[in-house]
Order: sequence, then structure tokens, then C-alpha cells
Amino acid sequence: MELDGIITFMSSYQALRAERAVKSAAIPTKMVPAPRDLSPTCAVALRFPWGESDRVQGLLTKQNIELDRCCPCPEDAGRPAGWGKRR
Amino acid sequence: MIYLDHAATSWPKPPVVIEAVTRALDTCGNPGRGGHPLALAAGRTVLDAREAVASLLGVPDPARLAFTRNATEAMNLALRGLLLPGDRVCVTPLEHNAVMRPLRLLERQGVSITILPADADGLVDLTAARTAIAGARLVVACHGSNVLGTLQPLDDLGELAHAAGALFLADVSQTAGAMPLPLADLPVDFAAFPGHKSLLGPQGTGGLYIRPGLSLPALLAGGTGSLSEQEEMPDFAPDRYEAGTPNVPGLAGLGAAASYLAGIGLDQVRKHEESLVAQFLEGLRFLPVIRVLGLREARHRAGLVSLSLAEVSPDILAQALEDGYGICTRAGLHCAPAAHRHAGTWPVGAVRFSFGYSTTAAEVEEALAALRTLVAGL
Repeated sequence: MELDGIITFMSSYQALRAERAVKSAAIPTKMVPAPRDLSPTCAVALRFPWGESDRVQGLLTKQNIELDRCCPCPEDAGRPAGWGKRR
Repeated sequence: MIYLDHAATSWPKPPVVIEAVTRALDTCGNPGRGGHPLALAAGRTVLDAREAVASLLGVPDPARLAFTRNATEAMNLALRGLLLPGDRVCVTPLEHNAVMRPLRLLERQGVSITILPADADGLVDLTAARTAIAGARLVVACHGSNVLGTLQPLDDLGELAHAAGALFLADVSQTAGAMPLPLADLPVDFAAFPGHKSLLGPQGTGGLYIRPGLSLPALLAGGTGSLSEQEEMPDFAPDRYEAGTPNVPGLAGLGAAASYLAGIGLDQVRKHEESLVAQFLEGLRFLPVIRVLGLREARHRAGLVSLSLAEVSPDILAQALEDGYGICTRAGLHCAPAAHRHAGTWPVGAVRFSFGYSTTAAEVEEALAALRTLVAGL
């Protein structure tokens, strides 16, 4: 399943809480270096399937997890075509 | 996995460090609090650690080392203790936020900040700096930049500061444990160091060297296990700077790490890391599309190289290195926006490769091979 949604945060504290919340709902997720064009503030961001965005945002709201941005972002966004798909 | 993020923290820690941490948890009480065997064992453990680190850093009197949680706390202890409204402080353009954030807070209280003139690599222009330092209370310099790797000449800067009547505070976060650094023989009044980078100790350890004859106000006040009848902080070191129960397991690990490094020899550690930097820089010469930050000579650098790849965001490059090759680097601004501004890489940042004593030449070659493949795919 493509992790084509991304959430950025103001702090890694919130990012790690979000990762736990999303994982506990059995939604595929992965922590990645935060895309510089989306977030210059926090080192990490959370990827997830954009189709689950309502559920994910609901989970975060329910647990008072503060996020910076939540948007669709293809996994290979910004990746040179010659590098192929991400593993 | 190839771990090339030693500038953030060293990994793996030597087995003797892990054993010392475990042993301390198993055998130590609260140091200086009581005369029973567990309290005494903890006291001896912290004393051993202080003596081992002092010996490694060329400090004859171990009491001149105040243990802290990290270099940041050590920096705060020095900066907040030294600078008063109306004072002026001079810094290099490459300072980490461990220096710049406390200074920006102090600036609001009336401390003024002068950025010392420097060349493109951040190396301070000693002639021009002489004028800038005149009348300053304090000069602060990171010995090795955590972004550009640039090594500043601590002896020249310290002498310049002293000639102007200023004190000199060195940030040795990227160099303590990575090269011979005889603090007491250098014109350094204070030096802040982390315990968990090249010193190979656990996270949550660090310290401040305070030259004999100098004193600072305590950053934290509280119990020290000494002068318990008084409600004032002791005026003697190291107690004055170490209120509250210390991180005994962490310091046990730090002491074991210092002894481990002493057994290897810091000149040997430096020789190894310098050869890795030279190997990496040499390999990068054949990849002109990559912009290497900082000086090209390994002997003028700490054990790290930051780079950027035109039109590829640092986070994308770092992720590609991790996903495709298992190489851990650090993308972004490295908590040093001042250094990135100076290098012209703000706000995008760069990807930093940083090496440690455990890094091998084969791992550096794998990193170069990965970069060659990625560059070929552009």
C-alpha cells in the first residue's frame, strides 16, 4: 500500500505520539526525514496511506496530538526519476 | 546498517561502557548521600569517571570538571553565569544553537552579540577579529563545526581573547574524545563537552571544564550531599555546579568510555578519523555535481563532511541512502542555522556524513559507492 499521505509536526514529541496512535489502529505508517519544502521545523514526518486521512486525523484529534500539516504527497515526490521507486 | 551519524551521537558504544552502566545500576546508591556501601560505591563510581575524563582531556585537577546532562547544559551554565546586561560576547559564525539560543535569550536582557569576521569556511579572520574582540567580556568558539567540520585554532583565539581582556569559552562538542585536546595547556577558560559523542559515553552526560581560579554562579541550586546544614549552595567545585542526584549509570559509562579511549590513544583516534575524512573527500572529488561544504583538507576538519546535491532535497537524499543502502546520515539544519546561513545552505540544509572510531574504511567506500550510483541516476 502506498504511503502517499504525510503529516509534519512542530516537534518530534508529537510525531512519535502520532506514530504510536496510527500504528495502534493498524494503519500502515513510516517515519521519514521531514520534507524540507513542507516543514523546516521538525526533523521527522509521518507517512501513511492518504485514503486513511480522515481516520488518521480523527485519531490524532482524539488524542490531542498537534500537527503542523497533513497533505497528500506521493512517496517518490522530489525523488529523481533515475533513482527508481523507493524500496 | 552503516551508521554515519557520529556527530549526533556515537554508536555503537563499546561493550565496556554498556557493562559499566549495568554494573552501576546494580551496585550504586546515591553518591554523597549516606555512608552505607551503596552510597559509597556510587561516590567512587562518579569520582572514577571524573578522574578518567579529566585525565583524557588533560585536566590535572578533576574537580575542575562539572558534570552536566549534556554540552548544552554546560553552555548554559557558562553563558548565563558569565554574561550580564551591558556585556558583549563575540562568537564565530558557525555556532550551534546550544550557544546561539542561550545568547539570544541573554540578548533580550541587554547582552550584545558580535559575529566574528570569518572566511567562507567559517575560519575566523584573526587579524580582523582583534578589533571585534576589543572590549568584549567573552569569546565563544566551536572548536569543530558540526556542519562544515571547520576546526578553529583554539590557541590563537584564546590568546586573542585574553590579550583583549576577555574570557574564552570553547565548544568542544565535536572534538572532545576525537583528538588530543589538552585543555589545561590551552588558553581556554571554559570548555563545554558532551559525553555521548566522540567520548563514547551514554546520552545524557556531559560537562564543563572551568579553569582553576575561575568560578560561576550555579545554574541549578539544590542538594549536593555536602554542607547539608546550609541553605546556600557550596562555593567549591564540583559541588557548586552539581545540584541534585547525578546520572550515576551514565557517568559510570562515561568513565569507562574515557578509560577505553585512553587505552587506544586520542592521537590514534584522530589519525583514524582523519583518514576516513580524507578518503571520503577524495572520493567526492570525482563527483563534481556534489557540493561539499567546508575545507578540502581533512587535517583542518573534524570527523564529518556535509554535502548537498543540486536539485535534490537533503531529506530525499538521506532517505534514499537509508532505504537503498542502509546508510544513516543526518539531513537538515543540524541545529545550527547560523552555520548553514554562513555556508549558504539555509533554509534547505545539507546531508551530513559523520565518522567515529568504529567507522571502517569499507563503510566509507560503501557510502561513496552509494553516492556514485545515486549521482549516475540523476
